[in-house]
Amino acid sequence: MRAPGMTLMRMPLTCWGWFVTAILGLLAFGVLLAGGILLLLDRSAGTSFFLPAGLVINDQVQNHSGGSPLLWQHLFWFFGHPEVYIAILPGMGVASHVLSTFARKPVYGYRAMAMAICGIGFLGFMVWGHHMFVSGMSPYSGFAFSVLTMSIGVPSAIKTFNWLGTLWGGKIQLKSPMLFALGFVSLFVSGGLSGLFLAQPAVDNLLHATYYVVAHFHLVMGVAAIFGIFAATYFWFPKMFGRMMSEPLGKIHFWLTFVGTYCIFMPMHFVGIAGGIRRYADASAIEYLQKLQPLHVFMTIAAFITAAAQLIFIFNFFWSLKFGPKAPKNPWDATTLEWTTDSPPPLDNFGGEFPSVYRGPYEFSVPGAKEDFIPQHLAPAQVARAK
Amino acid sequence: MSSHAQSAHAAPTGFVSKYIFSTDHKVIGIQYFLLALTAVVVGIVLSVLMRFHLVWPNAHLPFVSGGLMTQEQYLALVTMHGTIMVFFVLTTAPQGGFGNYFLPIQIGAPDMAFPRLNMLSFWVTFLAFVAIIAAFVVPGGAPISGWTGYTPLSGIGEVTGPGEGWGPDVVDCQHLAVLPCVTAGRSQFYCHAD
Amino acid sequence: MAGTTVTEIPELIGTGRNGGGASSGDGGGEGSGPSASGGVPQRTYVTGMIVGLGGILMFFMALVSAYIVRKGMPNSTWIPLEVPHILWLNTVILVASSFTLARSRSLFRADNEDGFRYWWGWTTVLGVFFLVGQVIAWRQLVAEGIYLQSNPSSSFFYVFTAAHGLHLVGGVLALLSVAFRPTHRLTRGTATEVVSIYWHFMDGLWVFLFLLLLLGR
Repeated sequence: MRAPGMTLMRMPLTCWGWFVTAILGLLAFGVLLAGGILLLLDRSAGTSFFLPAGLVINDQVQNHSGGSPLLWQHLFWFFGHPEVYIAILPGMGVASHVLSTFARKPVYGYRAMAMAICGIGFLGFMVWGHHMFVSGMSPYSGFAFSVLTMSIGVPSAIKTFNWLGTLWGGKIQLKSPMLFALGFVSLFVSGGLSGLFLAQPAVDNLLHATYYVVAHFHLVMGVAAIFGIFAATYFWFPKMFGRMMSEPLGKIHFWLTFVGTYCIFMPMHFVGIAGGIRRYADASAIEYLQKLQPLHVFMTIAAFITAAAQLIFIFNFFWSLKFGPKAPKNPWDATTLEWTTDSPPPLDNFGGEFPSVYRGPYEFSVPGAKEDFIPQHLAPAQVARAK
Repeated sequence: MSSHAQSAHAAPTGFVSKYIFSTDHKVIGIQYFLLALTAVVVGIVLSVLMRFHLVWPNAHLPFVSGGLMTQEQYLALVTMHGTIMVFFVLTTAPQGGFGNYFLPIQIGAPDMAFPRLNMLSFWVTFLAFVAIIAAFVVPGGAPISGWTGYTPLSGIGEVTGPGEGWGPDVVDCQHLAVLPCVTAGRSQFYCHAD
Repeated sequence: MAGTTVTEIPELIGTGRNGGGASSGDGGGEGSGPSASGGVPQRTYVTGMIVGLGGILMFFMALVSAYIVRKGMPNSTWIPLEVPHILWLNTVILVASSFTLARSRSLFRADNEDGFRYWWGWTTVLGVFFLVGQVIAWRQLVAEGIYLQSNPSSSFFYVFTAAHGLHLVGGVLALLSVAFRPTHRLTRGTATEVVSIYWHFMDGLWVFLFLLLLLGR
């Protein structure tokens, strides 16, 4: 269903991100469904898929028998790990797209970027055991999951270096979408690095179920992925709604959120290493954790401020819907097909005249061209040459 | 050929078919985005309550029965924060929201491969969100086993105490309802790019 | 426009394709259907079905791996389940329905409308017989006092047969819908192709589950 000339290797990286994410969702959700059905039967039909024998709850003997709680963990995490890649891959695609547009440079290593998205998606199915290092698995299994988990660092590092390569030497425009894309790269690196520590079974023995884990996944999922969503919103709002969002409000929103989330989640690593257990409602009875309480206070204040800062975004979003300045077709001078149509696009997306594609998606600053970008849909003869 | 095009893309009239039950991927994308925006606000409120409790566990909270947050209520906050954020923000906004809106346009297509399936998958997700919120108010309250739902705690039922009544069943049922439809809806991304 | 000398503008990211435009074979228009500016190519529905079956397959494979794990647990209270004998008949019926379906489709391709409808009808009837037979098998087990929660082996038996049976109900509805409702977006050829892929898959899946229940005892 792609336009004529739109080969796979001419698709924007956003499309690669959505494409691989869709495959992940397809293959992972079914497993959660199976686990969920078995759990529901255990709860209401008296089966024992996951419930072992001999459970005594609140002085009542349960007459379940012979199930395996570990089985739930396997089923859940076989879904759960691809799930987190579902959360981050579209953000990676958006980050590449936005970084390239606002650095006026092609994505560095486009092919590697596309392959890395596929690689992360594929490897994501093989590492679920790293959530279960402390479950009593054989050290050899732990070793295997550990090596596979660290190997995801390879395509991730490729992507990070290529993002930096895209920026290097570019003519950088620090508009709101770009700020959030840059923030994405920063947060992905910060969060990803703590993941490498957790990928060692020996280290994970100490850090499992502490706040270190909470800090790690919030940085990658709870902040980086959210920054991907913000970048996409600021970038595409003009196209979706025909109006521009307020740039000053966007910048304030970015800085408050960026600094705020780092303030929340960086100290959390220390709480975790010091032994702070997650999902504890009240740790006041635990002596050695009391010294960490000032960190908790700091994180909570930062959380309040960051949460309040999101009101700026919500206000900006809804206010601009009505009162933002009208947006042109291509406010960012971008190259991909969505910028050739009206803002917002008509019902069939292109007003009856469907484009053909003549080149890749990131032809910025091409030598010999008059403009610093060449849209995908312009035939070679239509491209204005520099004098 | 042209009549086929007309029947495939006859412009909908009427508010309901244009904005509520629209098969237009752009409308569906915005619907997903708005759902995610609602869900993220709920998720943030839950997390703010959590962080508040960690610093001031004995503070009097007027909207909690009994005034003090119990440990089970804290765990319910933890569970619902995770479940709502993961399922209704992180998998809806980037993929269902922006993916639905821009994948067809960026590859030069007029719509998604299966527009009605797309619409169905949004509305099932919406119903699932309603079900999740309902978990707060059913007998037994919201589940407390974490979004990871580890057994045996999550598998026993009411006898384990608060948070193990109908709440987990409701959350579980939303999985059952949502997953096939959402999977089907998302899988068309693949077909579309093919 | 610039002067008559056209300077060559390089493509910064080589996509391996010169120029573009309608000569591309990768874009829309393939699959003997309407062009991309009209409806969806017919081939897309087949891709969609195959993709959907991938998801369904993962669901069943999760159940199968749960079964294998549970059965292999040491000190388990697993009591092997005697598979009701009617399941053999049901399997034969379902396999036969795949043959009638294939026959129906080849008659469709030969433009034999009556023959197509006759064998398509038989496929539907055999599918219904299969489902009835599964229900009979359940009732036999209940009569022996074997329920869902009696033993893990019976739990899995009921879960497998119920999950497969529900999907097969969907298949029967699809068969009926092709027989009775004219399709708008899919041509009838595509509809029969898509439904038959689904049906053969469900058949193969049942044979696999049946062998698993038999041999895994």
